[in-house]
Amino acid sequence: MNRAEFMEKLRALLADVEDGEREEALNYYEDYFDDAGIENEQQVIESLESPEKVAKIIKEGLSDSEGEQGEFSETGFSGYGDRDKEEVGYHGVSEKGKISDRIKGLGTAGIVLILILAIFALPILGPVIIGIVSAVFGILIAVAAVLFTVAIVGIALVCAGAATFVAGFPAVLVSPAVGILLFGLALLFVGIGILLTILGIWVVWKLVPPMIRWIVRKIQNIFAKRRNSL
Amino acid sequence: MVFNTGAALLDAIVLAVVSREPEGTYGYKITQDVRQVIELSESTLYPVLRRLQKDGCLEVYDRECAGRNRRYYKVTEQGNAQLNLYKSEWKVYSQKISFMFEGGDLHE
Repeated sequence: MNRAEFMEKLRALLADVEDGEREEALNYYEDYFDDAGIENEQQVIESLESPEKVAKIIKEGLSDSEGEQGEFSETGFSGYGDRDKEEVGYHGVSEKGKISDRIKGLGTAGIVLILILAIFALPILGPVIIGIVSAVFGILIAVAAVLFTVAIVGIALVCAGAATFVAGFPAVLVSPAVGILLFGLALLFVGIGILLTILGIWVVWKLVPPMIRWIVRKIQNIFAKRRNSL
Repeated sequence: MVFNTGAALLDAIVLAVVSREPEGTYGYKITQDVRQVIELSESTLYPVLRRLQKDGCLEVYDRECAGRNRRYYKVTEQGNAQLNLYKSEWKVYSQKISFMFEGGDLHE
């Protein structure tokens, strides 16, 4: 058998295949022979075995473009139908790799099933969500409390500074050095106090409103999603 | 080879072979390249290339070559994503198998 005979036989065998697919396949094999070169023509024909086998593989490829896929081995292609059931194939990737395909292939029944599951999961998921929201809220309150404490400490330092300053006056009369030390400490307290107060108030001012806005948005998102899904 | 090559692994090998050519490559060359790593009949690859093309993992174009049009295959962005997925899955899978063969404890 030569190339022309092979291709003619193949064309005849693919007569029941849709025109576009048939031309596509025939073009592929014409290309294949061209690229193999005249000197390899016989070798290619031998390797392809027979037009019948090539046609069978092409048709199988067209029919199982979705769902069950065959197995390729050194003996060629074997569909699941005629494959020895004891053989353990390698399907791990095909199962994991095509999750999107599987979801697409779910159909209405599958989606309804998932929704029912989601509704049954609500009694568990609800408290969990509330728990997470509470935890986030708690952390925010703690942060706010720390900042508030910083501000209060600042104010206290200012007061302590003022008191120390007053205490400095009698001390100056007894020992000028101790008096000056007290005045110095007083100014130091007041300075640090003012800085801490400003820092605390500034951080609260800058951080809390965006945080609250962020949380509100997250909660709105959750509810919006749930409304969309139900 | 004693191990069979599943459809997914063959897809992965084909995508890897085609992705090595930025300009794309053609059926005969793909077959020869794939045959360097696994034994397969020359007729096996056509349905695989056709399916990968339909799935959007490969795109085809014709290029003039020695007075005729030769069909070239090129990996698409989606094909690249699929290939990366196959690569990472394969890494995990093959490591587990090798580890098992070498007598390691998987639960350590």
